Amino acid sequence: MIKKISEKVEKYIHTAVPSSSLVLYRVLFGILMLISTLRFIYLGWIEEQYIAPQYHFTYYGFEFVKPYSPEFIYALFGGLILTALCIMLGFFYRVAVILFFLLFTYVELIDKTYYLNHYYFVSVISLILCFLPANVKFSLDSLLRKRIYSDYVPKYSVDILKCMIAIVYIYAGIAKINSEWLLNGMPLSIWLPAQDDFPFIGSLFRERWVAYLFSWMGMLFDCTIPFSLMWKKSRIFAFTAVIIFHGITGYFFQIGVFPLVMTLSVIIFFDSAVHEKILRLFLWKNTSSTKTDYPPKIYKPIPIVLAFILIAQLIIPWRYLLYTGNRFWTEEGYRFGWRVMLMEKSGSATFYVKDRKTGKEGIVVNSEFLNRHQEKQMSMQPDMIVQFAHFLAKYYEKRGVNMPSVRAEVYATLNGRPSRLLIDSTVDLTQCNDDFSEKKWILDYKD
Amino acid sequence: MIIGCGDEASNNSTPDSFDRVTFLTYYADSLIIPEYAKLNREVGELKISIERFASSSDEQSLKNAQIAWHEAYMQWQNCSSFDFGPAQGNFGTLSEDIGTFPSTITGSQSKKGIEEYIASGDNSLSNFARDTRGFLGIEYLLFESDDNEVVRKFQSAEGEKRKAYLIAITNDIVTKINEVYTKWSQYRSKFIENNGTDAGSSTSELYNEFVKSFEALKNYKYGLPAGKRPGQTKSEPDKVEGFYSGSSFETSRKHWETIQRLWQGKTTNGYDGIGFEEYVASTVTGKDLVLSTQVQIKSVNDAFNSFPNNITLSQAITTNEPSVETINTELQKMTRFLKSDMSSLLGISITYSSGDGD
Repeated sequence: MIKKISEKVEKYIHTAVPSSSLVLYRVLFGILMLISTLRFIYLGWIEEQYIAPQYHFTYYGFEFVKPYSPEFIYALFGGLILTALCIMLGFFYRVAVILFFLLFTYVELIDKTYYLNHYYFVSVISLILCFLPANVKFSLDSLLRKRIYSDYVPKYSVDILKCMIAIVYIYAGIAKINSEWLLNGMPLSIWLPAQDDFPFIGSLFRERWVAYLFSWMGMLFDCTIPFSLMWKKSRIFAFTAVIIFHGITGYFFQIGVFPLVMTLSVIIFFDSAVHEKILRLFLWKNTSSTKTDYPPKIYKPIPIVLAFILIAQLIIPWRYLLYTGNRFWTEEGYRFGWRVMLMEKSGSATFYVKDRKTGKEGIVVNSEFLNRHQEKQMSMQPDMIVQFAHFLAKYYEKRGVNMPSVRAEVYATLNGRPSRLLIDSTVDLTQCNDDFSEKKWILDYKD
Repeated sequence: MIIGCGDEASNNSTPDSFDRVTFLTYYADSLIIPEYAKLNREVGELKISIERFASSSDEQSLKNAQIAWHEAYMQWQNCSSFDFGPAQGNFGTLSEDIGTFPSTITGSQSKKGIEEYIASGDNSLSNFARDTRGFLGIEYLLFESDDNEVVRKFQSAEGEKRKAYLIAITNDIVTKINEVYTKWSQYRSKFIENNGTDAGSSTSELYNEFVKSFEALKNYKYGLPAGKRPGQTKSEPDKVEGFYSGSSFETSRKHWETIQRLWQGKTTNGYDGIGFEEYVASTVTGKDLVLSTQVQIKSVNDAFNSFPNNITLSQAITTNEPSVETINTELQKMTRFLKSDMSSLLGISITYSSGDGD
């Protein structure tokens, strides 16, 4: 039995598919990353997000990840442009994609304010790409070193990308299966009416049933789209649905390049013949197909590493189950789980710094330390609240407040319900830590 | 409604229709532009009285200038919350340009104050020391001590420099206000057309500045002088906004009334139109929020009403007058209703950065 399975695995690992699919994915990924990096710079977000703020919300265990200096952060972005370009051209591909992964992830780790699932998606995909031979053709590498040219790549190298994309959709779909989304039509009942200036049908968005319709359709779309993309007969319809779905959400919500990233990513589900045709659109002629390396050589640790990444991806989104509270309220184990646009949450946080010697308590003006985006995110996320409290204690201690204790009165509203206290407003947050243990000072969320 | 299940608490009703074009048109035509027009006239009057005072430098013309200042500054409270669009200059907003306080009177080595600028005859105002000019710079020069003494300073040998500086900073606010007022006539149509809810939309800008203005009232007009900031060991009554004229309570109350009116959609004449109140009420659970906001507005009003008649805000702070504490507390309690609860329900984007995509 075990032998049979291992034979099957062995056989699978050595199965090859045309390399056009993987190569096209590399090219599209490179182009997209180039565009989105340039867009980020053009919008002035380097300055706004990484240079101007005097404080950054680091990730637990990654406190050393800092912007350091403007020159440093600009260099990081310079590196991103260069590596994205190299990925696109397939020039020193391995080095480029490894560097891209490190640089991109570094930037994302600087401040959790700017956490977005689609940035995480880019990190994961670029990590996977480090292990894939995506430069075997239609690349400068294969022109310069003819021996790496190949019309075939291992099947698993295409499958893992498909799996990853399927995970994103299916987990996003599963996350929508909750009573708020399906039975209360929340948060779309709040978000859609704000779009009532949409041409022609805008007024419909104030109708409650439209929010329900969109909620259910969104859930069904996410849960089923990977399957309908895999099945050849439904593929073209599924792809049309992807374009419409991401088109609409992209128009409605301020979500940047994400719709484009997903729309172009799902192209990988098409046949390699289609990919070949698309590559030809890039004026590429199949010049050196005389000698092809088939089956491609397999370096054994690679499929093992990829399997490990895949398993981790399947498990990580479920870590919220380790915590007892309502995951929307506490947000413990919430990130890195493809929970996208799932709730309307907002908070107002007032911090009180107390001089333990004199007993005098002062009220902090958050905007003196945080930009608007940071304040908004911090005001509803307990881990950021405690981080900010630690920062305030240090800051005011330097300015003469004796052994400061910090408490916070945080009122948060979830899906349009009246706001209520998010955390125990009497707890001294300097005595609390931001780590993976359950935050007992978060108040219960009961309906 | 097709699907009628779900818990009642969060499902009040189908949102009413709400027309943001009507809303924005009403705010522009009834709450914003007429107030800038009035302010523009008031500072015109102020300029005339100040020029008269500069030429005659007697107590009567000082009195007139003081009254004109007070009226203009009160009117400014009706406009200071509109720090977007035309009020957004290259180097700062109108509020920052003309409403910065507390003023720096005598500076330090690294930073000049009003008196140093006067002594050096530097009327260029080409610096970022906004706390040496604006409404509160004028206030200092007109109210710094009793009228007799003020007049004496203007009549003295150094008086000419003082006059020149006073006129320069008066002209500065007149020019800046006139510029914003004039720009509004062109900006109006853009303001109304930009009727979405994304970051940078008129609704978003109006709302953001409304909240900022409220927070400025709470943090700087009350919190700071009352010693509410961390690190302050005691209250600092001289940091109130109109310290020399003793008008802080009156002007800060006017400021609060503006916040209240902007939420309700009320003009200064008392007409109650389609405002944020109606906008919030039109959202899915908005009626609850409207009720709780109204209750808190009443508490803030009660707090302001409990302030004694015959003393200034800085005196009240010095004597630990309990109503100051009440005002602070009630403004603090107001925050969440105006800040997070409201933006959440209206679905307004307040930052340009990308959100989490689907």
